[in-house]
Amino acid sequence: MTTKHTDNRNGFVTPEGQHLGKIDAPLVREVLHANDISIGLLFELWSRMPAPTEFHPYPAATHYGATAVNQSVTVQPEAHDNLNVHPERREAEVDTLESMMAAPAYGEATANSAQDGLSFVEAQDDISREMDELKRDAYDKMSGVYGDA
Amino acid sequence: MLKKLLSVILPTDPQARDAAIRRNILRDCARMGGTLFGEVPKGNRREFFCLDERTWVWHEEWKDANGVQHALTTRYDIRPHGIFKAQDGQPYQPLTKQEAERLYLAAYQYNQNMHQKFDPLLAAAGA
Repeated sequence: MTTKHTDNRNGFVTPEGQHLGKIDAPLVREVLHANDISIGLLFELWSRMPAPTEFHPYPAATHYGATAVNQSVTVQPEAHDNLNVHPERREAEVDTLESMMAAPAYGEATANSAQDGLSFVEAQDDISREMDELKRDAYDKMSGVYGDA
Repeated sequence: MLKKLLSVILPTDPQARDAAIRRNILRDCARMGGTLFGEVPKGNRREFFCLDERTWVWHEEWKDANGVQHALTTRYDIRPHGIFKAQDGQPYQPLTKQEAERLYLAAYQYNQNMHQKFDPLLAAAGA
C-alpha cells in the first residue's frame, strides 16, 4: 500500500480508497504512540545492559549475534547476506504482517518462550507491573529526546 | 457506487474496520522500515516495523543463486528483563548489547521517519 497525500483538508487516501483523515487520525496516533513507547523501552533496556565482555549468560546467543539488525542504520547492504548465512533458517510464511498480527499476545508469547527453553517464567501480573515501571523510567530518560514525552 | 465499492474494501463493522485500517497503516510503515538499511535488492522483500509497543518485526524474502525462494522472520520482544528475539519458531534468544544498540538505532530512525510523515497530516487533520 502506498499512501498518497492528496488533500490535507480531507486527510489522505490510500489506493484502496481508505480515508485516513479526521476520522482515523486516532488510529494513526495510536500507532505512533506505540512506537514512542517502544523506543523508550528499547533505550532503557539497552542502556541497562552490561558491556559485551561482561555478558555471557546464554552462550547460544552468540550463534545468533550477527543477524537482522546488525550493521549501521544508514547503510546495511550486508543484511541480506547475514540473513542468508543463518545456519538454521528455514522458509517462513509469506505474509509477515498477517502472521505477526495473528501471533500470540505478549503474555502468551512469554509462556511459550518458557517452553522454548528460557530459564525463567514470570507471572503475567509481575510482567505488567515491571513493564509499567520500566515505561515510567524510559519516559523520564527519554524526555530529553522527545520533549514532553 | 463508490459507497458500495468502499463497503467491500472496508468492513462496515467498526472493529473490523479499525483493524483493517491499522493493518494498512502498519503495512505502509513496514515498507518504509525496510528501506532504512539501504537499497532492497530487486525481487527481494524487506520489512521492518513496530507491531506494538513491545514487539518489532524484521522480515526478509530473497532468492538464492539457484532461484529458490527463502524467507526469514525475526521477532524482537521487549520484556522487563531484556530484549529477546525469535526467528521462525526457534527458541527465544537474548540480544547482545551490540545488537540491542543497533535495534534501538533502527527503531529510533524508524520512529523519526514515522513522525516526519504522519505529524503534518495529523496536524492538518486537526485531530
